[in-house]
Amino acid sequence: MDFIHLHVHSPFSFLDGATPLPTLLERVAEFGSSALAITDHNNVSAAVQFHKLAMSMGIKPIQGVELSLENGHHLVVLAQNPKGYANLCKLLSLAYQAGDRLNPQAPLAALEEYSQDLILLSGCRRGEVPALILQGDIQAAERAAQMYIDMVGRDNFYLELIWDFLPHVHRLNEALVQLAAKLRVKVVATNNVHYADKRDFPLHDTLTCIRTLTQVEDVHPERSLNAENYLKSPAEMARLFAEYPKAIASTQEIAQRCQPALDLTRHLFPAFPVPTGQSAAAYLRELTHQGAIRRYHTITPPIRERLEHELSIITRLQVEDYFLVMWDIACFARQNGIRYAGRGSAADSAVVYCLGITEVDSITRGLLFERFLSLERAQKPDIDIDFDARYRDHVAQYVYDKYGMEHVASVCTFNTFRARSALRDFGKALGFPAAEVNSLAKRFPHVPADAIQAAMGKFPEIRKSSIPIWRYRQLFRLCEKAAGFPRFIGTHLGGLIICKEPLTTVTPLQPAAKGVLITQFDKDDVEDLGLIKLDLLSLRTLSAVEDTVESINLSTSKTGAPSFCYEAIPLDDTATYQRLNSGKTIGAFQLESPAQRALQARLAADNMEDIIASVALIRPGPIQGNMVEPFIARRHGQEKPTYVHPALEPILAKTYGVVLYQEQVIQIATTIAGFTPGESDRLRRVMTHFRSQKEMDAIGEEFIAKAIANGVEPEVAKTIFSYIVGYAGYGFCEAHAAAFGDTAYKTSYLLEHYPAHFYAAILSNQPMGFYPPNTICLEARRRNIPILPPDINISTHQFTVEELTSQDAGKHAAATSPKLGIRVSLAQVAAMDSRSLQEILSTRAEEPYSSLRDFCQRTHLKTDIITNLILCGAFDSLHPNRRQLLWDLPRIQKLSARLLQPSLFPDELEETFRSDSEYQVPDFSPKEKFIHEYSVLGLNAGTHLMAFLRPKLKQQHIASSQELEVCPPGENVSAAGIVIRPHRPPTKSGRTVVFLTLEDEFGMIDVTIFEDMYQKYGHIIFTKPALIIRGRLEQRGNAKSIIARRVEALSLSQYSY
Amino acid sequence: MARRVKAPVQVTCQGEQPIAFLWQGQLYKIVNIIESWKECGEWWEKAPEITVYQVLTATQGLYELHYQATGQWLLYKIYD
Repeated sequence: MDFIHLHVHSPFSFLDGATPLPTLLERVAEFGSSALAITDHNNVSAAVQFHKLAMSMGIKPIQGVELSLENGHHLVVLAQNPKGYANLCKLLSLAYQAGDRLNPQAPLAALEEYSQDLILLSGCRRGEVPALILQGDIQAAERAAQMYIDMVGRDNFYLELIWDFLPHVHRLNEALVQLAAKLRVKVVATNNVHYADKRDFPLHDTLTCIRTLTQVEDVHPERSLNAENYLKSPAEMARLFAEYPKAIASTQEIAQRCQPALDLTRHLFPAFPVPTGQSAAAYLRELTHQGAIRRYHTITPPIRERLEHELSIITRLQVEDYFLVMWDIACFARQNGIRYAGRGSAADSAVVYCLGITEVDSITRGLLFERFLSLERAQKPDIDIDFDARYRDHVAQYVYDKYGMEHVASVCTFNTFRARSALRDFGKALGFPAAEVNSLAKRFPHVPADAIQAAMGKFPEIRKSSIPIWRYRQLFRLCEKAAGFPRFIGTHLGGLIICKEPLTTVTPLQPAAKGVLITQFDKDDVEDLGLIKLDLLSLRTLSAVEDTVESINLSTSKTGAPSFCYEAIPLDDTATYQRLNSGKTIGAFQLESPAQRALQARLAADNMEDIIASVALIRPGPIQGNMVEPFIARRHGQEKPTYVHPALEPILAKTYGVVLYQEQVIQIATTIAGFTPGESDRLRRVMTHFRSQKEMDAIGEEFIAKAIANGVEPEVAKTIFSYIVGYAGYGFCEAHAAAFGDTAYKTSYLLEHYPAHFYAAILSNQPMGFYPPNTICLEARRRNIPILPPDINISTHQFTVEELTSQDAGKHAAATSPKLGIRVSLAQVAAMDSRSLQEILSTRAEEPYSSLRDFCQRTHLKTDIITNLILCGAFDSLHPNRRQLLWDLPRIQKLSARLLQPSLFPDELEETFRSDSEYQVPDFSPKEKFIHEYSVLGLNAGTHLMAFLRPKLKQQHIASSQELEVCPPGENVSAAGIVIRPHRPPTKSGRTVVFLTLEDEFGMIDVTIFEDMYQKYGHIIFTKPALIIRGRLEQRGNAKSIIARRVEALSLSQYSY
Repeated sequence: MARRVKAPVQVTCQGEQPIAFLWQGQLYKIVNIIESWKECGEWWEKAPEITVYQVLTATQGLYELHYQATGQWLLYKIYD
């Protein structure tokens, strides 16, 4: 007799399901079962994956949930068909609306209203009927069962029998059977499955501990007493329910009544409201034409042909509305002065360029539209737009307003267990002290949870860390089993979906932590459901650009100089290229990492093509494929590009014969093998993802056969294919590189010509970029731009550019002309919140603060904020002795409070004030001030930590970065500094190379650590905040770096600074 | 009130069900299994799964027997 599991939890029950979907389905297939239901807690997040996988295995997917009701009970709800599924989505959405994001509570009235095509099972022991029976209230149980029968009808309500081997199971099941007979409803057998295999109970139990914030030693009602909730075989189930064969038969009956409920063939994107009488296609054509005139002035036949080609594909794929929606969003941003930039493969489209969404002229650049959209691939278009991070939500709100709250939602993401999160969560649940597991987790790099054991052997910082491995064996095993399990649902950074139908019939909507409504499906699954994701992303770089422009124009307005226009930045500015060539590009978008700086110092970029290639080159693929060296050699003419076929030259000339861009792979396939653009893109995808050698061999044979048929010599065809294969997975989308390249160049221009304004903007928009704020401050100081400490009467909510007073200029003698400095923002002060900041600024606007007492009397800030303001020097201009102010603060606060009260003796109170403040205490030492400033601001306005250590370091012949700049290459040197961003990019050989930067008071020096040294010193490199590196100084291009031969921890406490 | 005994006992079964046990030289015949359930116990300490039987003997005594997955039977509790 076939038994169908109808109450099964997947890992999408969030810490209440311990077997991945594929494993559950494989087990069901082994049983020979014809169907399976997935019933996660209050979500259908597994539905799409479940549907696709089950269908591919010939298993009927039954969609369901275990629903939490407003009465606190659970109920299993199964969808019989698409209508039932839509009702299920509605019910879930209402449950989240009635409850909250962590405790949904479906109203019973809603259950009645949306009960069509749903089958209800009475649920586990948390179901209302079983719970009442266990409480001994049979009559109440009967009333509850009758209520559900009244809601959905006798045929659609089943009393669920679970042989769970828990106390009272016999009594419970017997009572349910009797009740079923009395009410003339059927019983159904389930096993409330939470894991496929009995051996996975410890994993499930620990997940339960994580979910309930308990430890394995604790008692909690949600922890199961035994390991019986596994996926039992039909034979086991039949044996268990031998007394109740009808309960087994009901599973088949229900499975037969339920059909696959998801329709993955639908198109749910809404129609864009076009002007009356016009079709979407015609309107898109008109807008494209208008845009083309604006962009090109004259529409030449090649431009017309290209646009027509794109429009015809867009129309045939019926995605005109999507383009119009994105155009409309870009228009909104432009009209509202919100800075934006289109990115990604959409920049391959001339239509998108003409619509004003991207700034990449794909026709002039010869970019391939098919990389973006093709008939053969028939994938949904994906236009990504970056917005000024501060206004991205304004843009999203526009979309909500335009299409209606019922039709728009944010796409969800699933936070999954990786090594660090798994070690922390499972470690705590197993009872390890939090500090111990945090320290253990921190030692692991960002690897998947199932790579923990492998990482133990691979990384010396773990291997040599004296971790008592024997203590953690059980922990590691559990972590590895939970790899990839979703921990919680979150909001996708930029993804919005718009649906022509009310969204709650397609996906349940639930509130995210930040309040927006999110789907229960991630970006891939929403596309399968027929929705198209709009990627409206936040990019802080654009915020920094906007702030920079504003700051420059504020300065120019004072001098009467013409205003600055970011869009008009010349693309051939010699000084900007010189800056890039120097490798001193910290702050430049996409060009600031150590690898990029090293590349820039060698590449000698002098045009935009070089910048675009740079963006594509410093990626794991090209680095791993050793593409950087040949590229640089050919760029400098030291190596001649060779082409095995003349047709390759026009395709690869711009990258000196190196296949760098994905578009080039497509062009090669089209030109050499006569592939259609769509076939070529398929080749590109096989290359890029390289999941299967079989797939690669098959497409290789096709390529070679077609190339030969196209008149190419067989050997040449094979060579060309091997050439492409050699770069499999390394290619980067040229359109994306071009889109980023534009911002990269322009921010480099700002860095060169307006450093003070640009650094201030970067500091105001943290976190952004590659480096911490203190490094940006160091860079500013290196460019002779002083960082001015926060000042209670000058600093604002942002870092601001100030012309230095003659006094300040004197202090910073090397300041550039005009002498500009960057004033630290008050928002940088630890514990400062926006309300307090606003209070400080608005009160100050009435009249500057004259003293700490004045400040305390006029504002109502928390003591920790005032303390931090004192410690970071914000009151120095009013009173230079910080310790004195701290000493006086409690009395000042007390007296300020008393002064606010009516007093009979106000003069005496004033006198107390004065006399008390006469008590003098010595100020903090410079060292103490330094430490206070860093801990309160996360940066140091004046001195760098290394400056305190310099005298001792000098005695030990340890050079500063300044000294290394003039030191000849090849010398053996020693340097010391704060470690910035140690990382180990993948290499082709698989050997580890660590790159890090040492920061000192003068600047930075890059360090390269090869495998043997890494194996020896890895445990120091990744765990110590400051290092001494001894090695050989190397110069490549304009950049110097140390090849490490010895690494030592720099013990800060040993130095009396 | 219950008294914890935790003593190994010999048990006679019919199928998987205990029907009698021998403790301190005396044979106790089980007339009714009042309740039974399974427990995993402290799996993190490698404790074996146990099946708990609350039984009524012919002498009208109430006992709790534990069957461990290792094959061992324990008289766990006596209810006064």
